[in-house]
Order: sequence, then structure tokens, then C-alpha cells
Amino acid sequence: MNPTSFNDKSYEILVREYHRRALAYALSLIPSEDDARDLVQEAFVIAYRNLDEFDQTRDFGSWLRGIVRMKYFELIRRRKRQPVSVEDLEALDAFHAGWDQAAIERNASALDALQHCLGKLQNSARALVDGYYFEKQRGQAIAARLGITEEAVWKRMERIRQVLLTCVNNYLAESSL
Amino acid sequence: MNQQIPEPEEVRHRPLAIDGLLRELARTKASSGDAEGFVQSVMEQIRTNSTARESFGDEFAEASSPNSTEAQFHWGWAAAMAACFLVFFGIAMQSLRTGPMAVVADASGEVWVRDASMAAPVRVHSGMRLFSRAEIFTVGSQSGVSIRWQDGSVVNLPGGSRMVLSTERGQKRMELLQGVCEARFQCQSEGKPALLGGPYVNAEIVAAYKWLNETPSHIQLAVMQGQVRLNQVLDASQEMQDDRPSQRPNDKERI
Repeated sequence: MNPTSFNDKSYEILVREYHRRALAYALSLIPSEDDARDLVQEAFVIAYRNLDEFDQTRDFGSWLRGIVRMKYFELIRRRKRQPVSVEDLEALDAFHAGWDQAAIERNASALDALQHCLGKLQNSARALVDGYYFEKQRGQAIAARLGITEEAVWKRMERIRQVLLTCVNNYLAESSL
Repeated sequence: MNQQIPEPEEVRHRPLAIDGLLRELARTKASSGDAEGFVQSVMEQIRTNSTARESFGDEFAEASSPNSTEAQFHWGWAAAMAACFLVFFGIAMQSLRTGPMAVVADASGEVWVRDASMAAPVRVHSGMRLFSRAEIFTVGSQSGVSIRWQDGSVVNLPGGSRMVLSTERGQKRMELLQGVCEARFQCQSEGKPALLGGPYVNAEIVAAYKWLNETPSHIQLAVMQGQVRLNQVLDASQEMQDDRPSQRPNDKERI
């Protein structure tokens, strides 16, 4: 859905539809959930205020991500932190643009795809993902639990992310068949 | 994406698309009711923002938008009911007084405010609106608050400061009771200079000001435009009691 009328009710539908994707985007940029929520919340408010300027031929998700990105850079400047590289940002945007496309054209959700792919992971890989992301364990604790080094945890995690990324994209591509 | 592992956990926040998805999945699993809470929070902020914009214009509305939403997300039903009561109570109280005179542009550390409508001081957060006769104080050396008036003038209070802010027929009045204050004023309306005062303060005027009025127990500065630094002199009362005003720090530095 793209914004066609600018009343509160229709905007609420937009927020409902786009907020999880926007949060996923923000959480890729910044690790803190609170910060990510703040960024996305502010982005929605700014987007609402500037809906008149929104080009309806464009994708709302992409426009919203642009605002999240802008607020992210503001936050990073304020905290005097190093921002993510341009290359990383471009790659991130490219993935999200693809996922948006899948959502618009095929009603396929990247989050649903990820859920599906998590179910296909081997037990040991699933335990690692669960420990880090869902149980919020630190690398050291996971390493101790699995009896491996912390470095090995990160290496495995990296491989798992790549596997999941491929799986999600394949799943979304297949959903069009 | 080109990802490099291993990395220290604390600094590992590369924009991995899949990382963001995983975090979002984990976040929503951890707080199943959060999705609706988030949507309602956004819509509430939009409505609040629209109200502020109607009163003050876009810039002030933006400044008044709260930054932190942490407290809005993990409340149970009981807390929600209490919040509803507080909101309605707050709205009722606000309708009984004049509109907000200023907004907290930024607050860090422990900052509190109290005004006539509050039974006890409440914690200050960014975006909080301040009403006339608000007494704001910062606790500890790491705290600080930046207050933006409706016209864009800014007052900064570092840690350990206390100030009462009020308006009277459009004239800003600030009383520094403790600590230090730095301020930057936009051009004030003719005949309504911003008044900065307090007992035993050392005033450093960095730009234009109108006049300085001294009494044995008080100093008041009327500022039309520019920057001012006020420093409350802790031991000045003793000096004044000793009737040795010449030992007070120089409060007549003028540019």
C-alpha cells in the first residue's frame, strides 16, 4: 500500500504495514533496540509531516528508509561514533529494496521467510542463533556453553548468517513461482 | 556483504541485512504485544506533534517530539491503566493553565522538574514541555539539560544547577538558584527583554545585553539578544554578610 489519502487512519495502516521492515533496517544499523525504535518512530512522524512531498510513484518503504538513514546519521554525529560505511549501507539498501519488492508484488515477507529458514537450520546452528539473538547471550557465554572459542562462535555465526541470507532470498524468489 | 568475523561483540553492529531481520524477529518474539504498542505509540506521537505544531509551528513541534520511547513498551495492563489516568489528569491540568512556554531539547543524566501542577518533581526527558514557573534541576556532575524557548532561545544547565523559568506577558524570566547557566537568546520583543537573575551571580555577557541591575542581595540581567553565562557564587552570601561587596567576583564584565 502506498499513501493515497493522508488521514490518520490510512497512515496507521501504513505504519502497521511497514514498521517491522523499518525496524529490521534500523536494527541492522544500530544494535540497541531502544535506539532503533526511536529512529523508526521519528522517521514515521517526519514522513507523516511530509506526506505532501512524497512521490507516490516511489515505494514508501524506500522513502521511509531514507528518513531512518538520515536520523541514524544525526544520532551517530551526536554521539561522535563512526557510521557504517557507504558500501555496507548500499548493500543493506539493496537487500531491503528486494524484500520490499517481494512484499509488494508477491505479498511475501522476508521475516516470514527467515522464520521458515530458521526451521531448516541444523540443531547446532539453531542453538547458536537462539543463544545470541533470542536469549541475548554474549559470545563468551555461548562459547563456554558450546565448548568452543569465542572466535569460533563468530565464525560460525557468520556462516549461519550467509546461509540464512541465501535461504531467505531463495524462499522469496520461489514464492513468485 | 563483506563481513569480517571475529569481531568484539560490543562493536559488532555492521549493517548485516540478515542481522537486522534476526534482531527484529527476536524483538517481536520477546514482546509479542509490542507491534500494536509501537503502532499506537507512533500515532500518539503524530497526534501530539500535530497539536504542538498548531500551537507553535513546525520547528517547535519537531523539538517537542519525544526521543525516548523506552517506557512506552514494556508496561503491563496495570501500568497502562495508570498511564491513562496520568494522561487524562495531565490533559486536565494543562487545560487549566497556559500553554507550554518551552521544551526540553535535550536532557542527560538525572534531571528533574517541578511546577505548580505537580505534587512531586518528575524526571525530565527530551521533548518534555515546560510550563510557567517550572523549577528544573540537574543532579550530579554528569547531568545536564538544554531548554529551548518557543522563539528558539536556548538555556543550558550543566550538572548541579537549579533554575526557575517563567513567562509573564511574553517576557522570559529565569532565576538561577544554584549552579551555572549558559544561554543564547534570539532577539526579544521590544520592551520585553529576557530577564536572568539570581542572588550572588557572576554574569559573563558574551554579546548584547540591555542593563544590569544590582541590589545587595540580587543581580538581574535583561537581555535583548546574545549569549550569557551566569555563575552562582556559592560563598558570596558569606562575603555579602561580611559587608565586603568588593570581594565578590566581578559581575560587571561587559562587552
